[in-house]
Amino acid sequence: MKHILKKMAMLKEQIERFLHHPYLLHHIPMQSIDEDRILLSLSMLEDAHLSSEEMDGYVVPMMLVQIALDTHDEVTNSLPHQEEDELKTRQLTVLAGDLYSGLYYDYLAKRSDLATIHVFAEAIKEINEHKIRLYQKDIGKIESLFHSMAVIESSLIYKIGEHISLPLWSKFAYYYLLLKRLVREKELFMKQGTSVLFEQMANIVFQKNKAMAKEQKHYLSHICNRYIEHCKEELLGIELECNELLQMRLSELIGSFSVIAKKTVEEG
Amino acid sequence: MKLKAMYSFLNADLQLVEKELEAATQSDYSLLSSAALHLLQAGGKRIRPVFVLLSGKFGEYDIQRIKHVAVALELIHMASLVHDDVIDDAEMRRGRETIKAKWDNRFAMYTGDYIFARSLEWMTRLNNPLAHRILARTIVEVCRGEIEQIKDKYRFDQTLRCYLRRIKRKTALLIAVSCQLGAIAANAPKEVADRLYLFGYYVGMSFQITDDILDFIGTQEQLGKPAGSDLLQGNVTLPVLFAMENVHAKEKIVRVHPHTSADEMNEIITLIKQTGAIEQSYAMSDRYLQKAFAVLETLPKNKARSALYEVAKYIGKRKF
Repeated sequence: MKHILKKMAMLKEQIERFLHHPYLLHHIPMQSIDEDRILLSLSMLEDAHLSSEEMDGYVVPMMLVQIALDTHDEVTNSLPHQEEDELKTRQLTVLAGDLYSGLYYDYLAKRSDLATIHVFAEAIKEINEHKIRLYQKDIGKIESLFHSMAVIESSLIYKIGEHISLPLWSKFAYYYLLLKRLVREKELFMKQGTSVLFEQMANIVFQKNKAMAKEQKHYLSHICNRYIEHCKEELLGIELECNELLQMRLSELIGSFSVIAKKTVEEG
Repeated sequence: MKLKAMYSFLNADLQLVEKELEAATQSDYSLLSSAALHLLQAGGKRIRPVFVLLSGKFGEYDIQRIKHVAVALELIHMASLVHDDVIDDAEMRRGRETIKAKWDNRFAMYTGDYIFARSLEWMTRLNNPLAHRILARTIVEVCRGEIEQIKDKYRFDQTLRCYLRRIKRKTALLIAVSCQLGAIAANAPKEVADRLYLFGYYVGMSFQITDDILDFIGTQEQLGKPAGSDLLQGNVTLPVLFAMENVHAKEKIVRVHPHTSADEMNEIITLIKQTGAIEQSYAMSDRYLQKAFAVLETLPKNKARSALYEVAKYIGKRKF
């Protein structure tokens, strides 16, 4: 466990160095680096018996792409106070995302790794197709909605798994990252009464987007719980040699779901 | 002579590039395909593909290989325009609604990212690590340049060097690299590819300076935005830098801010014109063009070289 924690810290440091841009950091919040993604991809790459340098060659650009895409999710449509500073923040958010995308390409080009450039380009294409579907509320079925969420969350790691011929790890990443997103969406829904997922579900199930009755909310919670349960079952059914740290994270994730599910039942 | 007539011998190949562009922007999701088609139909001069193909003529020209670079570079350009319209909050481009106006900013961000990904997919069809290293470095430089541009807004004490570095990154680099990569994709000798890079760089600099001049001398109808919009947005361009050598003009210019009235802007534009800054800027644009022509002279004489000469002259001296 110590060994993987050390590697994760080193990778995080490398990624932070790429993201370091004094002017950008002064004007826009730095995106957080999702350690779960690093852990998940490292665990998969370890299973493929890759060298430390080869692992870097996947994890660093993958995280740069992830951060680039996450940054562009922050671009606003309207400016609350119509102030110059807000406009500047939006402009720099666009450019920061573009810069991080460029850095992923530059990193892999310097290593002459054209195959991985292609793998990530395919994933970015797919992720954005699904993001637009989701954003435009252009999804007609609940199953498609959950699939879109899974693709958005997991496509980068999924495609690495395919590329290095570890399809079980791709499947694991698909359900692990979907589970993580669903737990987050559920928490948001419980705290704020809404979330992207629940808005979309309401749109599909009740063809509406406005305030829902208590029973309707409960029904949607039930659907979400069912999918969370499904992810859990799939994950526990995949036979993989997971390292201790990933197993711990998975247990934590499943545990946090149990707390949420209990709360849902209590709140009726 | 019309621009297209200057390279009519490329017509069939450019049509092929156009078809590939259509294919590259197709998505499984029809709305995304429509957005991309909306962009493609807005046209544009496809100047980058033209430079790629013409430069490819200095090596072993194989359209089946070179087209990948031409398509990738045009897609990169398209993706950056979609994001630039979000940055500039622009409603119209080339007489059509922008993606961000027709949908919204978030939609434009995802569309731009999608197109950028497609460009890299297309580019990886060219199995040439050097070409990828050059393109990747350029993309990073262009982004850094755009960030610098935001940083330099309303900074009226900036130097000529600062302006030149900015327009290099903003415009000249991608044109330079279009020429260089066209040559590399055709396995032209390194020396030829390097000279074509230099040619593209000089043409790009001349092109951007002309663009910056047109912002002051064009009408709203010709520009699709009010004259002086660049300055109003805080972009300190070459005519402004030259005009600020005049103390009286400088006093007025440094007071420009995002809410300066149209009347005040008109007064400042007139003042800038009176200082001779437009003529000085044209002279500098022309000096870059002359440098581009000088580089061409060192390249083997062929049909492509004549076409590059005509295209450079056209875009350096264009009226709108």
